Amino acid sequence: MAKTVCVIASTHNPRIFWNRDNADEQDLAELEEAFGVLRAGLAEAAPDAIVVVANDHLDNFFFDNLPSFAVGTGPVAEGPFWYESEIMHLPSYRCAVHQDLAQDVLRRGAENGIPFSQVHEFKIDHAFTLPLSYVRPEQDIPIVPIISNAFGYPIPNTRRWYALGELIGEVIHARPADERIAVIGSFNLTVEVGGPKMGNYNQDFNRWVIRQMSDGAKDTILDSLSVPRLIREGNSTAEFLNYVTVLGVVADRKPDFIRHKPVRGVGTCPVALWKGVA
Amino acid sequence: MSSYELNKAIHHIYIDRDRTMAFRDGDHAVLDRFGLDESERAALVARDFPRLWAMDVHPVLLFHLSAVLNPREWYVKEVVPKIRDIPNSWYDYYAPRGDAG
Repeated sequence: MAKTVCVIASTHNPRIFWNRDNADEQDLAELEEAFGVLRAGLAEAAPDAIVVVANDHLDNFFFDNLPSFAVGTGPVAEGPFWYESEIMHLPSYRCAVHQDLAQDVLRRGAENGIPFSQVHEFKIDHAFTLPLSYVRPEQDIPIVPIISNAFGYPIPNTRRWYALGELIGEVIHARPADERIAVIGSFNLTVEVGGPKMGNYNQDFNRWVIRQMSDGAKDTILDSLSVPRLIREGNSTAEFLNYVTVLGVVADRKPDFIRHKPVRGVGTCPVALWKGVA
Repeated sequence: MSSYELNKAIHHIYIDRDRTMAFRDGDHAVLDRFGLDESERAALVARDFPRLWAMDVHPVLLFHLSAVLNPREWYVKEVVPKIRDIPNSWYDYYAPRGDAG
């Protein structure tokens, strides 16, 4: 049985880079410090591979072929897309894919109720490159990219995202005993992209969600945050479901570290860390 | 959500740097490969974002198109106030708002 040596949940708020000129310097410094905690936690855990769950932003996929969950099986994960680099100033990232582990995830999913698509030719967008650039800038640990869909309806219900996390845990447990594997879920809190509420968020809702996250209140999150409930707060708030997948790995264990103070000029940028899970 | 070709054209533009630059410079030949009706093509050529919203362009696609064509805060300033009461079947997927008429 392999070990889940570290679990990270990280914002992928692109405005950390895109709006950097407007960001409050002190808030940004505190966020960088928080990312430093995640980076140190991951380094200490010394994983052989990282399973990363992050949603595509209608970059790789379009409505002609829009999987709920896809596993990247090609040899290299590289990104982001041109406009994310050139216009939004988001960091680039290039690393190997752990293809053997990717095939295990794919197979166990197909045989146990998460019928992944497999995608050999893909790029990773900022939902991958932003957290990875912060937590493993060396780009030297192979990943298994699980590309989720949080934008193109219909979206799997909240418990399916939790089941995805449980499945990831099962795959890790079935791997050889000497392997050390980390998991990253890339998410955001309330987000509206392109809609009429853009720029106006319900901070009471954010505070409530953060309290549940801090308390490890897995059942409350699963019972309360249906997809329609999330979308009511912002049309892209289904990105939070990547965090629910992390809960499927850690269950109701509280994070060992959580930081959720908004960065003025950027927005909410929550991050959390769990050390050795199982 | 019948505006598949319109949504596809927008994705096709912003996902590729060369196509974006050509479109930004007024070369609209890229649109010829999609089955757009006259009003859809006109809205795209005019970069009429509220009209594109009303034509059921997915909000994320619409914002991405703006991001590659316009200054960063342009969309929030120029588009958001104009789409508040306009239905969009992607946006209203779970909770339809009334047709503002």
